[in-house]
Amino acid sequence: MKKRIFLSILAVSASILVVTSALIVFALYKDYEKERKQELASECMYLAEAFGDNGIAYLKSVGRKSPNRITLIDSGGTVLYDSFADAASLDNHLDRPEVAAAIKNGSGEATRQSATRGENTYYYAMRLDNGYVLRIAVSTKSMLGIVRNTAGVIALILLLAVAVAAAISNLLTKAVVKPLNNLNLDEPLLNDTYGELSPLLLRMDRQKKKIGEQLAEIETKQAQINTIAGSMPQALVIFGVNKRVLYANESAGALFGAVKAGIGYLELCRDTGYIQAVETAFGGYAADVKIETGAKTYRLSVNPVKGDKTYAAVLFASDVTQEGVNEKIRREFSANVSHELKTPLTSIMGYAEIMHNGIARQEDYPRLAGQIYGESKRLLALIEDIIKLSQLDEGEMQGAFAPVDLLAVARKAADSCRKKAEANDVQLAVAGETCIVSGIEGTLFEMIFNLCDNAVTYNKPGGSVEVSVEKSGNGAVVSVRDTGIGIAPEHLDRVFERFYRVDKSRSKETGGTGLGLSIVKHGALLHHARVDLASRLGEGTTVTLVFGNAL
Amino acid sequence: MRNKFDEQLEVLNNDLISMGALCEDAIACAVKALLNNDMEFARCAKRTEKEIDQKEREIENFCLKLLLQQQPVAKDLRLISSALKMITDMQRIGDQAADIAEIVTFIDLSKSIGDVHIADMAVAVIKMVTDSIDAFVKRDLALAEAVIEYDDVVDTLFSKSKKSLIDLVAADITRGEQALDMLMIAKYLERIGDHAALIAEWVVFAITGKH
Repeated sequence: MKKRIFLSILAVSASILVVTSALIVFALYKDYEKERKQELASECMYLAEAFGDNGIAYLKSVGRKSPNRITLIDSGGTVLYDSFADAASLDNHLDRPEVAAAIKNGSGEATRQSATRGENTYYYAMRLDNGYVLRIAVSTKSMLGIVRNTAGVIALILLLAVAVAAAISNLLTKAVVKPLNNLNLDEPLLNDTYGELSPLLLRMDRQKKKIGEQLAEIETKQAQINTIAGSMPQALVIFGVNKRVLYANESAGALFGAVKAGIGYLELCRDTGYIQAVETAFGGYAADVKIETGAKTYRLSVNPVKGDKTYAAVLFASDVTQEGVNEKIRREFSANVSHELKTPLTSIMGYAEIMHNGIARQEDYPRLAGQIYGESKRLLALIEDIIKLSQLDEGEMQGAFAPVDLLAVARKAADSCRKKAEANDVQLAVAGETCIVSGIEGTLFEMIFNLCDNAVTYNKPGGSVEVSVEKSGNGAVVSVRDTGIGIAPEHLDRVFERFYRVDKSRSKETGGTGLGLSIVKHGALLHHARVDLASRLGEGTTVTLVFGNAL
Repeated sequence: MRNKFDEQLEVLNNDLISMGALCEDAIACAVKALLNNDMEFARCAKRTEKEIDQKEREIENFCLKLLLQQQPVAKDLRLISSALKMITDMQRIGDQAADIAEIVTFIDLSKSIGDVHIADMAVAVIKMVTDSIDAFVKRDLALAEAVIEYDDVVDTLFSKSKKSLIDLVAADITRGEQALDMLMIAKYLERIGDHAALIAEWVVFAITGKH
């Protein structure tokens, strides 16, 4: 900007300078030339007058002093006198244009240039009365010579022009640029500056708004993606075509440790399965693999994303540790179920076979039939429990929620156990206040009944069972306390598992299915209730059901 | 040209990490085979050892090619020269893992291994190998130095193990052969620890230039 302004000013001033001086020199020179010629003519006339009076001696005396060249030529062209040179050495002057013209017309003039000396010489000749020709000549600087002489001055002025141009351009640039520099680009429309800038500022304002909108949109989208990906329990890692991490969500940190964008895929993990899966994806094929890190199992799913020629990859990992555990529990459950079902059936078949083959004595028949009856009852109880459990598992009874009075249910459950309690010499008491909760009466009954049944079964003769129903805050608490044999601490965690039995030999004779507490746990889950178990070996057990919201 | 060289260095880096991962696999398999007397894992260790040998030759050739064609200097030269040294140690780790697996195929030591500190050694050595590779991956100077320090732990465990084995033989001379095999295994593990420490030293060299 500054340079351009400087050059423009310089070009303008320099060209003006050159053109003006050229014109002035030309005009002045023309005038000057004309004047000199007139002067020369009049001088010649005076000389001619004086020559007529005084003869050649006068010419000689004038010629010595005059800066002009005076020449006297006779009518034949021979030089009689020359004030600058020896007359004898000069050749015949008849061919000189001014001499020829003077002889012919009375006077004549001519201009001859000497380029080398930068001089013009003017000649003026006039014919005298005696036929002689008097010529006078003056040398003046030619125009070129004048220019040559004044070149120094012009150069000086040019230099001055450069300096002035530099100074002016500097100031001008500053003055022009200052408002531009002071523009408030954040608020383009609030500026008070050159009118010429307003289209630019308007456009800037529009674009600024547009960019702001787009940026906000991108940020919203980015935030959405980050929120979605960040709150996912699954790990998500995106690899670029350079096999380096582009993005990793927070869950990925839990699996791979700190993941920074830009690190190579091998820096995440060196599990062989992982490496193979990711490399397969970079090769353009999806891969699915399970890896174990520490105590956890993850399922990795790595999918290729087509780039120009190579592939990027998206890794998706979910924690399947619990799935594995669940799978194991399911497997154990089916194994247990078949085993538990088979045991009574085998007995039934054994007794039936004896009766069928007629091996048994007649008097043993009622006992055998009784055994078959007992085992069938056990089988039926088992199947019923399994059905209940699977119903609870599938949440089929979800729809049947209704207000239920827990105290009434507890009384009913206790009554169902009373006969067994009396047989075992156990005191059974129900106390508390009416608590209404939203629930399924059948399931709640089943839960409390199972707890009471356990409390009676695993009791000592002369022991007691207390069932209490109380309000607690917003909720209700049902607790079943017994003075029974208690549960050892190492079993506490496992008693809720299906078919888990503390004492396997004892269970057979007491006739439990091993599913009672499992039903309690699932029923509690269905009712959003908590089950607390406190027990001391030999002293008794307290099971507490804590319901969150009473009605 | 430089760009291509950078790519080649990245390939080298990835190859080294892969080879380290193979070493971790080999020793993990060998130790599982040892602790559970599982022949499947013993075979896995031997198979992995072959892969490690293959990888060593590949990386060696690649390093020499890089040295010749790119004439690296400073950091790049350090990486390549330490890579050449590291793969030797990694290859030895693979060999020793395979040697342990070989012993396991002949004799079941899973019952007695816990009593003579060998199980502890195995855990310590796996940690060392993993940490030395981690130090390389993350260019972690502190971790590399920790691995070098940790070698003392393995050495102490080895001498403890030796003493227990002497007691074992003194108590029951019929278990002499078992004791000898276990001593071999302990020695192999101790050597693996040494190699892991050497790898860590080369990592330090690659980072700082000091050795």
